[in-house]
Amino acid sequence: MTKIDWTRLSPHLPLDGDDPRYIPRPSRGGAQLAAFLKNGMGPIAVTGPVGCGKSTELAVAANSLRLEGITTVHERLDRVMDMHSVQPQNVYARLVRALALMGQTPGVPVVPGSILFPNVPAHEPPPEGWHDRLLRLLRHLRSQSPTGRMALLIDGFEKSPVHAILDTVSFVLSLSTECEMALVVPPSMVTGPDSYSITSQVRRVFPVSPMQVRQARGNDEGAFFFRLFASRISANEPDADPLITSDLQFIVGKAAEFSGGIPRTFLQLVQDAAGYASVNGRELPTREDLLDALKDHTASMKRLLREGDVDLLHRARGTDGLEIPIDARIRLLTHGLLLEHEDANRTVTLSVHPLLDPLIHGKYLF
Amino acid sequence: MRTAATALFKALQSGRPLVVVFYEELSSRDQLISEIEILAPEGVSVERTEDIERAFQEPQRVLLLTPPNEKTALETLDGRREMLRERTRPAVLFLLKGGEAERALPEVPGLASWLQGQEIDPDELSSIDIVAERARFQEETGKAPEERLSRGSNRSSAPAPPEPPYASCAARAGRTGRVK
Repeated sequence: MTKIDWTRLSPHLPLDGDDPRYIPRPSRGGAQLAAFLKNGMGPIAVTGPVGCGKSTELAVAANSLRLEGITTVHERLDRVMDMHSVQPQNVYARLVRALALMGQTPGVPVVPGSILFPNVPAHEPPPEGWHDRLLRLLRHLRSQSPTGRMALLIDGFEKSPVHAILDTVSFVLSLSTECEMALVVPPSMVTGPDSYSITSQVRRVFPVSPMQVRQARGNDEGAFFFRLFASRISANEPDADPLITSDLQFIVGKAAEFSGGIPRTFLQLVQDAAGYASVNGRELPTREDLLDALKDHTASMKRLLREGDVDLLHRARGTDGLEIPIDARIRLLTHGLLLEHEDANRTVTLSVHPLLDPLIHGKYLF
Repeated sequence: MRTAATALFKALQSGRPLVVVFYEELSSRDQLISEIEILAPEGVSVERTEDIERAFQEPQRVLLLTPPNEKTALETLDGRREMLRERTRPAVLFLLKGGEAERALPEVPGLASWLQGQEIDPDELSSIDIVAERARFQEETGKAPEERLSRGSNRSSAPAPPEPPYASCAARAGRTGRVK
């Protein structure tokens, strides 16, 4: 068996839209998001708990739109600015830059300098309002697009405090008359009593949700996690067969269950179990190694709980959670401490993250 | 066996960009820094700094971050965490246990998610919760520890397992279990 490089799991790295390691989600993935946009069903607010794959699915949607001939700008604000201290003018300047660069992409007509107004420092007001400037750019690119269509996909707003970006997001959404648009935003921006200003401007909220792994073993969601593991591990080594042992299959299956259906948590758990195996001089993780990893993760999750949260979790599980105070519900869902699942009849049921088993059941339900 | 040394060793080798280590007081932070310097992979540069900006600039070095304002540092790392993606060696952020920064972790869900499993509380890991360990042992073996030990003492001694790779490092680090 090929020696496994566990660092390849890279739980912290979202994938690019054309990354061969991408495994489509059983539902609500990038292809579906792209289909909504292609059919003019935007603007769309993409949201979901941390680690669910929002950035990857947005990148996949952007790639899919490009392949359809739709001129697409995919801007990752979080890779270039501090999302805790976002200034609206920096976001606008960034979008102008992204659109201008798109104008320089081979196959896409160059944006005339008269539209760009180059060399304007981000901290200075532009010679005309940001809105009009962006409008000109979008219209120019759309008119030159082979399909006459333009899409703007923006990632990163979910990392900002809502109050700091409300006006900026609202401004960006005002441009959605000119293009198809999807923005990744924090759950609290589209849920609860203060969400009206944004939900009234979007046509659809697209939740990238945790997958239901624990309650239905061996289903599509379970298979997704095995494929996710194999794709990350065996990239560049098509002959590698990391799933060769049944012991490792057991560990991957259990890690999927305890991930709560959150891809990042799954990759972290497998990597951490492998880390403990390595510490103990083993190539492959055992049940004990995974238990040690679970304990690390449970300790991390417990730090996120506030006084009274355990009672709330007990009350919420198995219900739709509507009786839980809205602020607490959004907070617990954002962290993935509570997991929201929707069945075929669109009935929503909440469950407590399996890593909190020791608090809810007194032990891990291994 | 999950101890402070094994958890630190695992975190340093993970390839993930950020690790948090909790400390009780400044003297224990200094001791932890010494331990990490010992546990760091051979040939890897390790440096202590108060300047959080260096986490965004030096991706191949293990950085031990001791910022003067830990909460501000946490928020900066959260706001710019995508810029840490290139790190091949972790930045280790030291946070005062029970301090403002630890209490602010629920306010930074993205970073908290990145850090899951990479937050190490050596003091807690060095403590042995006798009640929990006893319950776990009984659940796993179906026997009380005393019963198991008395049976085990009659057996001939098996050959010692091979020494794990971290053992010499852990021994040098000198961290032992403490009974809670």
